[in-house]
Amino acid sequence: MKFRIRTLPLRTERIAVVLSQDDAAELGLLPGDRVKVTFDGRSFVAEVEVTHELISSGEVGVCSFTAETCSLMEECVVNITPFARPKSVEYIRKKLDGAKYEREEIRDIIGSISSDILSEVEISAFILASEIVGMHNDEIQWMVEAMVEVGQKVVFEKGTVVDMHSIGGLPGNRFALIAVPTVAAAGLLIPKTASRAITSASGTADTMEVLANVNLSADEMKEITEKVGGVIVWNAATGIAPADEKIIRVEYQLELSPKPHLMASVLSKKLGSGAKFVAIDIPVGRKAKIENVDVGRSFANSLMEIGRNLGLKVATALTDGSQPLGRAIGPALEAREVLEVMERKVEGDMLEKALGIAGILFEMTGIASSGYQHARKIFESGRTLEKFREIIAAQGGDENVRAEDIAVGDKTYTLHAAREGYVREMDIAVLNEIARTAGAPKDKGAGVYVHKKRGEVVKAGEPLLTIYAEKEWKLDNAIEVANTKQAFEISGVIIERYTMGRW
Amino acid sequence: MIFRAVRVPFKSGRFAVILNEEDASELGVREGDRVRVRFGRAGVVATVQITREIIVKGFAGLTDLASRELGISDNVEVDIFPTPKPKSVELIKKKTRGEKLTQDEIRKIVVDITNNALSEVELTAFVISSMLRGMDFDEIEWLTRSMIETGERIEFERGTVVDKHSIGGVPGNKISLLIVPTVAAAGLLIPKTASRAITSASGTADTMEVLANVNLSVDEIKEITEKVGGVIAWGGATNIAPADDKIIRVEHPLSIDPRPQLLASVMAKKGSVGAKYVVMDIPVGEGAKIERIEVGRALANDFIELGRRIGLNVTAAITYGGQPVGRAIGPALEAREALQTMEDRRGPSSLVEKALGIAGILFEMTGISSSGYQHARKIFESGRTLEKFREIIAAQGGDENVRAEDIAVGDKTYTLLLERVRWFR
Repeated sequence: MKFRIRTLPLRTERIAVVLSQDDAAELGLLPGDRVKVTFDGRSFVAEVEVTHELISSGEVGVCSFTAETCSLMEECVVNITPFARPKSVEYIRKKLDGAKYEREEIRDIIGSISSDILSEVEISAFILASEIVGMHNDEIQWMVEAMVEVGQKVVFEKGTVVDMHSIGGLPGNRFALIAVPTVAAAGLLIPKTASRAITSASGTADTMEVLANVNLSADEMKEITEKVGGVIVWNAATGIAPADEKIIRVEYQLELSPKPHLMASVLSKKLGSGAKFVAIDIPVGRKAKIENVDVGRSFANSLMEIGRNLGLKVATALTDGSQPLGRAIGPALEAREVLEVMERKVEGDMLEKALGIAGILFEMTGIASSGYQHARKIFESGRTLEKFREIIAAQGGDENVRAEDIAVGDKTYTLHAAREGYVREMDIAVLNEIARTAGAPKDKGAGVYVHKKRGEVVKAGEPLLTIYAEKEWKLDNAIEVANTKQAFEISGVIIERYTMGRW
Repeated sequence: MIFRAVRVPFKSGRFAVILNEEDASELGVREGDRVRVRFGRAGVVATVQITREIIVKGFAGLTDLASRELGISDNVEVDIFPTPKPKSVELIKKKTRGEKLTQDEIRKIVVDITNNALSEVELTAFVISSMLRGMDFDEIEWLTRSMIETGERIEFERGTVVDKHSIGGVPGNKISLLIVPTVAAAGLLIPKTASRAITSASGTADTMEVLANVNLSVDEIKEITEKVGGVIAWGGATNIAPADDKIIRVEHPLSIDPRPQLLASVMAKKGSVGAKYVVMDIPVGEGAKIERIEVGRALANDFIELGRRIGLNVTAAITYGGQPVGRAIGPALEAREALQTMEDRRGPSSLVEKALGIAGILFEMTGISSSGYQHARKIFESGRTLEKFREIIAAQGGDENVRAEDIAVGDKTYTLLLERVRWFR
């Protein structure tokens, strides 16, 4: 059928056409169906939306995004015919029936997701199928291969390329900012791609952005790595494994991260950045992505097996995921904390974890037989900080930056302990929510500083946590969260008190 | 945060607010997140859409539905702030994990579906989780009851109300056009709501529309049924079990029809129109929705059990679904065939036998006759089926004197001829 184009003053980020109800019925189309739009000898496939008003019969509406992308003009005449749904939808459908994907099928699905052919409903179905039906290791391997194939790929001509990654979910987990320069200082190449926060208060890329530019292309990433040995960039900007970002956008709405996708996400990015040796951090604990050690172990085994089949040497570390790493949560607070650690002002679990992970890479690559000691030596010699400054400079930041220079939110509120005891449990989900409500990660200076961690004794009236915000109203909202939800479980000698009435 | 409102002339089935990219990140919301929009004392919860152009910083675009609900005009100040997801999202995740939902939880989900409070992505999660994790009979019963409660209902003060339903998928299945008048002629009430075709060539509502108006309200359905005993209306024009239409919107693109939703959808519609006796037609055969008889039997048992639980007396008939019923396919051709059959008081046996068989089951269920088929045949052959059908057509605003030969069918035709003798298998 022939239609006249009407451009709508609206922009949605997908290719869609809006038809009147009558025309849709005439063509036998329902919302979400696809049509082939032909004009001027060219054609494209679009999703159908149906409207009661706005568009009259004989017209077809397109948003400005579709108009630009497909170079359509007001009033031009197009031909529209129904288009069969893509094969990838049939494959997802098969998985819903419990079948296993073939290599070509998963490749087709990832290809369709990367080129925006699948709708959110269809991507949701893909995610739920992975969550509930699951995937075998070889399916995950094919998924990784397909994800790498459609994106940018970095190849280093020389040097030993290593990388590290965390599956995430742990507030304050910024060890990479210390581990990357330590590894680079030892002569290894480490082009670290990191993510921004999706559900958490800050991602490694958000924190690094406080100190330097993280929006680098794949070429820039390679160049800097070859020059100074390491880099910390935002993965989406590099164009490596672009399907991942699109899947994650829907997963965020569903609040799901299926294990096959977690594995494919990590491995595809590392494979795409040219790494040969990878250390993967798997935080395990209450409210973390992996809730118990047994699940963590089988997850680690799958990761290593899939890595092996992809020619990637993978080591995994199960780590404590039940409380924040370090004490700071939020981009600027975290950046300040890692600088303090490198400037030797504070010690603790942040440093231990960074050196431990760096050490694993030293052992994998044969640089040292006791990796942790080797890492500690580099760190104590000051070469970690020195290298970190080089990386900051190469990424366009201020290499003379010091911990005290970093601006954090000036609106603060401190929560105090009501009674004496020791910290028995911390709720990372609540800490995360407080920090996000305070404005993190968008407001770089917003976040939470934790004064007491698990096992530490606190006296009545002592500070438990301080909230930082850049805006007064966000601070108020965060205070409300902190006062209504329990971030700390404090235990005293007397746990509960029972009294016999009054006397 | 305070924004200036802009009404966006775009029809959208849900409350949406369009924000500039910078404002969205200032508020800390992402695409698909929910915000509460407040204007004076009115407020709605809307999902966020993010734009880089169109809406400039400091302005918020509101879809028709949202701006009408708030009663705003352009440029007024509205307050927008993030709001948590509805509780039903958490409940859907419970089903994703494979846990059983309680009656109250299912009701909350269905209420949110009905009110457009769930996004397509969340609705998909509900449908697919129910498909993969399954629901037990308690849950399916609660789902059905919630779907009935959240929609319009018809209650008849007197008379025996019956209904029939076919799970569909067989071309040419115009039997309702014969069954409804036959049953009504025997004094039963049959307020039949039918669907339009989605993937097939014609639905019962499409066929009936050739002869009369099928876009009837719930009140009209009731009134006509009380007056002439039967009606054949399009279910989509009513607000009966509205959650079902919304669920179908996400099922269709994935071509899935999960068992819990299928059962609840059918039974909620029958329960809502006040039927007490229902016969289910389950066509089984190669190329039909159900290809294996065991699957058909299991479905029959499911319908009977679900009916028992919600107080509906259900009988299921497994019928032959391997080839078209009658010979005509398409609205006008089917209407003509149905009418011709009633006028001649005979016709293709697949059509007549099936229609009378099913009408007969309803006669036996309601105790009208102990040999229902014979009773139905007597009515059909006496001409009372046609007579009643004309009354129904008239009551629905059609031409009661219509004859089969009056019905216009397409004038561009092509006949496929057999080139040489072949055996059809």
